[in-house]
Amino acid sequence: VDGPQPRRVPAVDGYRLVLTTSFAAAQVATVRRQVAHAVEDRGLSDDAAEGFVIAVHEVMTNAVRHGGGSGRLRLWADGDVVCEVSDEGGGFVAMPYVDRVERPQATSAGGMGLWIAQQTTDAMTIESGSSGTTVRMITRRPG
Amino acid sequence: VSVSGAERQRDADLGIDVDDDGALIRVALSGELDLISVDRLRDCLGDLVTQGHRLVEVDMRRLAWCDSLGLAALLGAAEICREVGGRLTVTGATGPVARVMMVTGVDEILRSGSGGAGEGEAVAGQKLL
Repeated sequence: VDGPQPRRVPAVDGYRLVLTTSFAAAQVATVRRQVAHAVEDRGLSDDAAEGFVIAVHEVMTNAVRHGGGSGRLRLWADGDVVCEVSDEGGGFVAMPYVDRVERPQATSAGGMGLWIAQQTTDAMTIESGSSGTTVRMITRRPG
Repeated sequence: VSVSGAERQRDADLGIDVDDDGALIRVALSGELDLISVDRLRDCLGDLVTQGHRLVEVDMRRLAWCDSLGLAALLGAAEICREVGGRLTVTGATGPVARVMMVTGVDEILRSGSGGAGEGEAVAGQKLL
């Protein structure tokens, strides 16, 4: 099949776990600051680091709003930075949100969060089922 | 995760300063607009339109953070404005706020000078004042 190849987030075996935490609505901003601090000075450009933090915030917000009100976050760093956000909500059909190439129409109904996360990281994968959702994002160190 | 009450309060901090110069309502935001604070902004903008204001400018120069929920609230308020022949525009976004607006295309929708139903009437009304 022609067209863009799916971008995949690699396994994190061998990456160093630098942050593991849980969160609900009241902690999203605080955890976001912790992630921002943890990805500092790892060789990412300011733009790449900012984009990664934006993506993590959006995915945490989704977990709070659609994933049962809370979630867990793990962050690995080994040059590249990888973040995994999991919730125990009812899940959703993830396929329409993966590897999108066309920007969705921005509306007051929302639905822009995963588009933002995809656009501000190097890759994003989503596993979702009736027992929960896991979103994984990676931004690679250049070179 | 352990979060103190003070930290929680700071996270929720969104400043909304409303300035009415007669022709235009200027809403200056500061701090952070996210899932904790978005309802407050939505209520504030809705109230302004209910009170009869038609030209709303949201100044984001001092806003440090805005997520997709904040953008959705701004789009919703802009729709309410348009329905009554008014207009809501956004100015001054910088940093991560400008970034999410650009990535979603919301910057084009809410930019001052962009089209939209009611723009002609609103501008004409402003000139009369």
